[in-house]
Amino acid sequence: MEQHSINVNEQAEKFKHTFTQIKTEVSNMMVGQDDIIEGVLTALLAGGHVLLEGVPGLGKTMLVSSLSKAVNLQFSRIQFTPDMMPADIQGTTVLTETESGGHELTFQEGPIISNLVLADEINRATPKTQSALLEVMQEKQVTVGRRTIKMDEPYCVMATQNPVEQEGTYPLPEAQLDRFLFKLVVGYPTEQDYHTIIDRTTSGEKVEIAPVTDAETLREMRDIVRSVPVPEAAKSYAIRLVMGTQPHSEYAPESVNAYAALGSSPRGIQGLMLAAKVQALLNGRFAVSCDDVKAIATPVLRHRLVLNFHAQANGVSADSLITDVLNHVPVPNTVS
Amino acid sequence: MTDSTATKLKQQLNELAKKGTKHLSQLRHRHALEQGWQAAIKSVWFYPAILLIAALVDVAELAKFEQQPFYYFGLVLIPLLVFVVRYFQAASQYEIDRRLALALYDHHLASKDRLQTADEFLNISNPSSFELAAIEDSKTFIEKALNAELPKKELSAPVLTVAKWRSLATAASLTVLAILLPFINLGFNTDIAEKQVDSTQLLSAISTSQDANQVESELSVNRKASGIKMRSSQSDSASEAGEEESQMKAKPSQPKAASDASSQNSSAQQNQSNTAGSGASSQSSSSKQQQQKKEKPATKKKTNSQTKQQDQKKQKNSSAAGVANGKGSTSGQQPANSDKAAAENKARQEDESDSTDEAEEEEDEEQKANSSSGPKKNKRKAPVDRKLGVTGQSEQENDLANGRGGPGGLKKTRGVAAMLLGVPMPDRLQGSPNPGRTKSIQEQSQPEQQQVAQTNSEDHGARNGAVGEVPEKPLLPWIKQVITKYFVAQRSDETTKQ
Repeated sequence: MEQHSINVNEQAEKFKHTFTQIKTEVSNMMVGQDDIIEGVLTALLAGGHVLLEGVPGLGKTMLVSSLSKAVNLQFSRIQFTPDMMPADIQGTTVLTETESGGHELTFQEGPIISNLVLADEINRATPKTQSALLEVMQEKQVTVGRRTIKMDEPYCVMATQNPVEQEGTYPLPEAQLDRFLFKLVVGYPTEQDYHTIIDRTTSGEKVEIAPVTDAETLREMRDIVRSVPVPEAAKSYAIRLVMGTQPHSEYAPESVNAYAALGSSPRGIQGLMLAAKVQALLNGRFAVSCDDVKAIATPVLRHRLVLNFHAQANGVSADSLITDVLNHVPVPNTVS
Repeated sequence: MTDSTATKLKQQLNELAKKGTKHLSQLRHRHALEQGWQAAIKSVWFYPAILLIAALVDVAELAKFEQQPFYYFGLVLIPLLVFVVRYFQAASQYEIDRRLALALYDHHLASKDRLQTADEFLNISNPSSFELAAIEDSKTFIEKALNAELPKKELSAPVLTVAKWRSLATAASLTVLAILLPFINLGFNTDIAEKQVDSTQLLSAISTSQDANQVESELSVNRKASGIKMRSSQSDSASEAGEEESQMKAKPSQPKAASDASSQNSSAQQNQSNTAGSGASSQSSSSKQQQQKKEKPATKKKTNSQTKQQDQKKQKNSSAAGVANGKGSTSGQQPANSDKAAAENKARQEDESDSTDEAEEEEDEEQKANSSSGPKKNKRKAPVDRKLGVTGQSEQENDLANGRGGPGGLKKTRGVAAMLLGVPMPDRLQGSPNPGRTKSIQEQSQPEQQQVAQTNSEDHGARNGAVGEVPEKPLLPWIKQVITKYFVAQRSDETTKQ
């Protein structure tokens, strides 16, 4: 029994240490944006995918590429364009020349078959091409023709999109959005961060990212995350929050009833639990608390809420609705 | 973790749960007390208000109230009942259990649900390593909780706030008022009764005097004026002008009539159209009205009826004035004279009604003749424009009308521009249009066996004739080779799978 406890303590300590190492390494390249780096890492360790939204020039692509170097994973980048086809992502059978001078049909893997995939400007591709990601994001496998390819773990898709330039874009369908664990909104850096950005990027100084971990360690970390138990109170709270986003449910506030067309799906609660487990470990605890659930509720739920026309007309955002839900839904076993 | 440690932790958690439950019970009791007290204070004025209403409605019954003091028990009983009901209602809102008690300590110590988690995991038969670690982790917080004192919640508000004092004061004043009202009310009512008796006596006395006649005549003028106002709103503008003319004539005549009646009868006969005065005045006034109607053929039946009413009123006045004139009578002969005058008035009214009916008939005939001969001049309006308002209502509108039509400003405001949505719309649609939700329903159905008619095979014979030219694809040999290899490989895969 004592031995078990020591092992768990070690595991938790190792988890926290590795997390901090990766974060520090990425921070060498990415100035500021600590929340975003933590969010991306949390999603990676929870086994989910991340959608990064922000205006151009904030370092979204650089963040993902830096992360891939820091965690030493096979990295591939797909620049989505309107004329891109599913075969361009998944791969296709091509005719190749053999050594003997003959030719044969061989399967050429697409860029989706990797460990860390950066889907840059994902909303520029057509829904047909976007749909090519559905299977790989949920089931971690790709089916092309009669061939099914299983992805190596850890597998993570990190997509970026620009919220401003909407011309010639195709908003991600709900099915696609639901597959992302987090939607992180990248904001502008602080004044102090600008100083550092200037010094780092406009001088002769070269920043190199050193790999601090590997795929094997990440797999272990994912296992640790899944081992974290969730007490009944935290479970109840997460369920209430997810139900709170569903219009006309028991826990939905008035604003959700008025402005939300669709609420979070059961995938939302899976995401809440996994991300809350990572939070618990990072906070030095061995079980999830209601505060952990509360802390990650916004990035997990914001893209799962589908707003109606009234919300768009009145300028109501998903974030404000989630804030309403968090204020409205009571934490279990609390004395008011 | 050893069993003894687990048992010890369970005992400690039990102790905490007990303490927490006790604390929560106290909180619940205080909360319920507070709620009950507030509700009772609010309901204090209710029964006094009922008493007061009862006092106002029926004074005589209140005397019985006075005799039956147990009616005033409600002053205490109703707030007490309200207090009890609200207390139990507030108390039943909170269910206290073990988890809630431990959550209280968690919240107090900011231990992030560690005590609740430990309590839950200790009851698991085979806890995992992480669950055990969570229990271990909670040890320090359990120790802290055992030594901690939960903050005692004070009553959120003082016992009697200004608002509560106000309601109490209101209740007290209402009660006092309800008690005292019978005495105040009785005195007030007797005064009124006495005053009523006095006033009736005075009225009967005044009705015989000349002063009373003057008052009556003034009243009739006022009534007429108000009646004319009412009618003027209903009648057309042309008839209004006629009416006003007649009123202008009538108004200065009435005070005159009163003064003339006191002086001499002959002057009253001369001022026939002014109604007051002698009995012949009604007939003369009707004849003059007929003359006026001839002059203004456009007047309608409405005005006739109005003039009828006016005449009736005038007759009333004339009766009063007749009494005042007395035809040479004095105030001492008033009862006999008044009877006579009443009889005369009746006869005159009958005559007059006959004459007015005849006048109406004549007037209708004239109106018909006028309408057949040409359009009514007073009905002519400005040319109709396309405004949505009713045309010809005022001179200003007629001035604006140019007869050329076209939408005016009013209509423009009610046009398509006014129908546009007032909500901000995004100038671009985001993404492609959604075709909408589709719903597919899969119904399970069992396969049914169907009978198929047997058909005998027949020999159709060999088909003869040239096939024709079958073009061969001009494939290069190496392509042929690749394809052959591909299909051979594929078939070999299939055969190995099978």
